[in-house]
Amino acid sequence: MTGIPTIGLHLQQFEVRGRSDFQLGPLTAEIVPGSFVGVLGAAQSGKSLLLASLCGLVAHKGKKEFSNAQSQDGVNIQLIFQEGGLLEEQTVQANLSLAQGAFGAVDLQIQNALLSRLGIEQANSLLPRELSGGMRKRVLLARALLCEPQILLIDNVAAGLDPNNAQKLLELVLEFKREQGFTLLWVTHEPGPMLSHLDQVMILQEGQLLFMGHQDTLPETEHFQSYLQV
Amino acid sequence: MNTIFHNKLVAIGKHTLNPVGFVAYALLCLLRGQVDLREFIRHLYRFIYGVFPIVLMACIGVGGVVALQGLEYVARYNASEVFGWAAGLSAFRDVAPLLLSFVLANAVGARNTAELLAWRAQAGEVSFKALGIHTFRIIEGPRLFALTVAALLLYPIAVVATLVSAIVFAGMVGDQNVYASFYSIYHYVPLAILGAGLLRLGCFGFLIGVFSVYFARTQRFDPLSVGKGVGRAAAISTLLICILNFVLTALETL
Repeated sequence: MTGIPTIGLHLQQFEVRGRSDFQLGPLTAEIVPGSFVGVLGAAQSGKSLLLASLCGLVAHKGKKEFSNAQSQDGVNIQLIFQEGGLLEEQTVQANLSLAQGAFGAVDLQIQNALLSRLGIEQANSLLPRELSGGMRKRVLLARALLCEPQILLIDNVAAGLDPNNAQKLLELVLEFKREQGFTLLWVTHEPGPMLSHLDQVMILQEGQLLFMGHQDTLPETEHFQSYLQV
Repeated sequence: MNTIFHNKLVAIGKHTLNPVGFVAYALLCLLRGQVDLREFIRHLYRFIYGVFPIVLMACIGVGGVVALQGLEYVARYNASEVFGWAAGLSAFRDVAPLLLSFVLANAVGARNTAELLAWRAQAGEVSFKALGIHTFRIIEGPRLFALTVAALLLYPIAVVATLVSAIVFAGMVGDQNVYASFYSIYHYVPLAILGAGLLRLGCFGFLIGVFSVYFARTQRFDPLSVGKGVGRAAAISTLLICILNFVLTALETL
């Protein structure tokens, strides 16, 4: 643990308007500090919109409160996208420095140690286009971790990875979660490998919250169970 | 019919007023020091490095045209001593600024728009915002001002390439005295013309920078829209450069 307080989240009558008149919510949900929440749902169910609104990229209506936070505005939320938006003409080190510099002093030693732990120490001087899919995702994870998040939002980042690499990525995230204690929301279409680690499952359907709770309490109907088997 | 006319009018108004607002925002960011110096220098280098061979080749080609047209008048009026002056005047004031800005608009400006749109399409903008990074300071501002400064730095190169090409070519095909031509430039072309050329290039470079970034910010990033955005950035910059060139020439002659 880094000593940064673990943050929870309380949503009440939370509503977000997306593109083409798509509406997410109103939904009410409670996310326990330090928990690992799997966000599931079919395409166009509002999963990515939920993450974007939680980190303030999209305006919302209703209540969004952080529990355990000293200030409601000062919570450090990091969002990892599937593509990630690395600067393609800059090296990995420059990309990481840019992110780290936005939150404090750039420390190359910390960067190198982190890359080494993620198993990609050789990526430091490479350009993003020279990275494999798995390495790219780890760089994205490194960039988010360097910012010392209190809440980490992951948007389907394991998509496109082979099962082995996806599993390694999950293990790495969980390892850092145990150390840093951040709250984790992970949007995925393949919940299988993470099921045993999840504290809660959040299922969205056409912008509405269909289910929120531990996966063991999920109704036994075929419709609900299908979300866990995708 | 009225609705189409109305929509066109609204679109024209939007694309006229929005860039003006964007210019104000860009200048405000510059005044506040919200333009990353390291990124500015990096883009300045890559813009100049990328466009240098094209500028050189284009200026050598146009220098040949200046020589051929100039020689015709030299022969008609038997005024070989003013060839250098005429070539210098056109190179300093019109040929180099216009030629250079057209090359910059189509080679660097369009590339800039394409790069920024590709970056936005790969969730670059949102992920930077999610990180809390000021995207204008790091991404757009350095490119905009690097384009302006690149135009200014390339101006002397464009002028020299055009003049040397014109004079050497005139010496080769028209028996024009090379030394007399250079002396004519030195003696007759006022230094203020160089300042006027630089002023034009500064304005043109800024304009290219503004529109290349503006269309990258406002365009959607599906393949069709990316094509439109890149094309518009180059075409509108080129058109506005012609108009601005006319206005500046008119102001100079007042």
